[in-house]
Amino acid sequence: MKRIYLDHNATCPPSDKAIDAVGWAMENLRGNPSAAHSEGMGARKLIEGARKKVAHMVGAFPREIHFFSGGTEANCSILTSTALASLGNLSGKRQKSPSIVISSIEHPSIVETCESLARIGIETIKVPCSPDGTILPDAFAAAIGPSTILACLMLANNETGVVQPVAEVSRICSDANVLLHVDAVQGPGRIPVDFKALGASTGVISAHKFGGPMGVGALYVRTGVKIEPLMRGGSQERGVRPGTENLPGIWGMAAACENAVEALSGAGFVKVHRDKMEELLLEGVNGLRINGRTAERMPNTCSATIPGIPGSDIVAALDRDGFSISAGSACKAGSGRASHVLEAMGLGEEAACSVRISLGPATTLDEVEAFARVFGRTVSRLTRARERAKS
Amino acid sequence: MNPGGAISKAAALLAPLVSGRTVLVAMSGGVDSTVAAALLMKAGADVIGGTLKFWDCDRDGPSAEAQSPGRSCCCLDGVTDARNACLDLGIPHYAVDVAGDFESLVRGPALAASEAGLTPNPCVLCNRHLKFGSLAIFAEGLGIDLIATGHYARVERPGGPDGPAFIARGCDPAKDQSYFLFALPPEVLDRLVFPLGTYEKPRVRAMAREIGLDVSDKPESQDLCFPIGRAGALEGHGRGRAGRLVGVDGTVLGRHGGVGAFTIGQRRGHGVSHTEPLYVKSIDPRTGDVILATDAGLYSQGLRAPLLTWFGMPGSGRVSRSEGYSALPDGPFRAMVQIRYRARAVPATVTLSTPPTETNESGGCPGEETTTCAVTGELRDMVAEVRFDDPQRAVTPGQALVIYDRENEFVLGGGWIEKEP
Repeated sequence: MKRIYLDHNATCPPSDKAIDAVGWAMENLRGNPSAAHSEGMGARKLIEGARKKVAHMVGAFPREIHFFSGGTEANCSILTSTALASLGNLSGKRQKSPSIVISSIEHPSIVETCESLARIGIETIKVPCSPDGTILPDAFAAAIGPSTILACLMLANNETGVVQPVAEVSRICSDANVLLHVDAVQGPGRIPVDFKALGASTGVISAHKFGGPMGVGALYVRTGVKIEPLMRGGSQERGVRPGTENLPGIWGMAAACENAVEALSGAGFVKVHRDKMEELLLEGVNGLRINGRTAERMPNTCSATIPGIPGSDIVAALDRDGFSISAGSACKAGSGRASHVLEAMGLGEEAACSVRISLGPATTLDEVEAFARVFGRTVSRLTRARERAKS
Repeated sequence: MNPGGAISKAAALLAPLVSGRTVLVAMSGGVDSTVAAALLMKAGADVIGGTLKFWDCDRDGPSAEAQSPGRSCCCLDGVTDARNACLDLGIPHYAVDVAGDFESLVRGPALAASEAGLTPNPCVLCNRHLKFGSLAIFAEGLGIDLIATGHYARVERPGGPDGPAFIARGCDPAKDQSYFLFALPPEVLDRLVFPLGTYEKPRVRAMAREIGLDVSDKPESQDLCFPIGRAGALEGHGRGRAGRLVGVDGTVLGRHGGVGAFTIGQRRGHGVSHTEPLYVKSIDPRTGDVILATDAGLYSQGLRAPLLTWFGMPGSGRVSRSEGYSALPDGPFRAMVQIRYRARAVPATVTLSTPPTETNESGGCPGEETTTCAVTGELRDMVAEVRFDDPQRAVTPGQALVIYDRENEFVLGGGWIEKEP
């Protein structure tokens, strides 16, 4: 049975270009990029070539791109190092706790890092989300104050696909002299990601979300923004992220950037397929709702709530029939924990009755139509099983 | 695999029942459920593993149980172990989140019972509501019509292949778990398979070795998965009212910190010294009095238990819940009854009745007008009056009474033992 994969927001299967690039790098690169001999220089050349490609994709200068092990590490790093630096700057006289302002729908790597910073006296202020999944710029402005050391707003939410008003919020932040960190992990290949145009102070992308290998990502740091490194032990990546670079990963990431640019030009088709699928789902399943439908969304994401049926049961049943989707975001998969994003949108208990379907650049219309058919059948079966048990 | 091996033989016996069918096996990562799954695979079934997640580690942190060494836990480790077992077997695995139901249908009622001076049996509730409740619903939702576990028990049809199904004792008397299965919803019996029920534990260990399982270091996944009773009270769960330790003659012998720490027949923990050992005879949750007596004072002639399930009599027609209990035996009948897991069944005379709504003064069911079970809050409409042939020691309210047929093989029904007035 041919499986149909509709969980691209969790990971995008590696492109052929990326696979070839990783293999090639492993076979042909024989030195540490920091070494002062020919092998080292060969490896160094590769990294710098990769850096150019990544920078080009996100509207940055190459020197503004630093390679990390992924989005999570880069997010944690920025938050923690900014927090530590702010504490270091206080000269004993503390008026108010330094605060970090984040949207209530950020990725757990932002949310949980902020929660852990409470221990060292950093307050986190969460900006509420409107029911359609967008953060309102005014709400952000209201949360920012004199003690704010950093603000975080993601470019597009991983669970709902809703695109956030980053450019507007970045103007608010720069007026208030506050750094804005933009988690753009879900963006490449689906919507334009231009850190410069967005006005981000720092930003993050992750290779495996656009067909690159897992275990590599990049942190954008705008020229002039100074950040303290979290890790120590070398001067790689301009000291921002010491440690021997993940050469095969970085080369794979660069190759995937080419895929992302191509995918972006095909995003219109993806949207057509996603919209058609949503139409079929709404027709075929009584009571099904699409979250964030009225907001601006990435073209590939569909967050659907089916009242009364746990999302994890739907995921399992669809897996049996050869379809891959998720309930809540992938990091929490299997935990049964309801999505904090959907809860922030006001879904309450129904947050646990939700699934996320995310198409890829190559997903066909036939595939989404087949999916919608099976989805409808599956929900009927799950509903009947629950009703029979109650009687 | 050795064609003459234990697995092959066992699988051949299982094949007529399951070959070509899809079965959801409740996996704990332990030896028993893993061998059960392997047997079913060998018997030609399409096997899928499922694990109940009782606890939301993400929301509430690792459970206290997860942190005690040697204790099995249904938290992330349990799910991970089960998943790894399924990966090794080559079958799919799904985790089913029942944290909410676990709290409201198992742990919550059990702690409430403990505070009310009863000694609950949460495993029975879990089997009824979760393992063969929520998991069965999950299976049905996936279009799977058979459920299997590694329980040492059997499902038999003494009246022939078209007759009604009964839970029967497993063939290993030391491991038989039929006692915990008395409260299964009767309609689930037709969909149950217990691959291990006809084997003794040593044979199952041999099968485990055959499939390359490490049988040595795993704790049995049958321990209570949350602290209750004395252990629980020490950690502040289900402690109940503090009060006096009182002798049978009314003498106050001391004080205690919570009725939840005591169970009938318990010798340790009350801290009262006497010429003879003293044991807990009864508990009054309202006053907080715990009555202590010498061994001689612990014996009862009988008990009363509202029933949760009644499967009928083997040989007569099957009783379905929708038909009511019309196939009740007339008058008293002889049976074997078991009043705790670690006790042998004993001969008794049982009378079933369906009382009209009556006020229950016995105190076992706190303050209700109708016969409502104190442990599960369910309305019962059938009550068993049991008269033992010989007086039995430490009859414990809140524990399960399980009624077996005269041959001590089939579970006829069971319920929660009430407090004597």
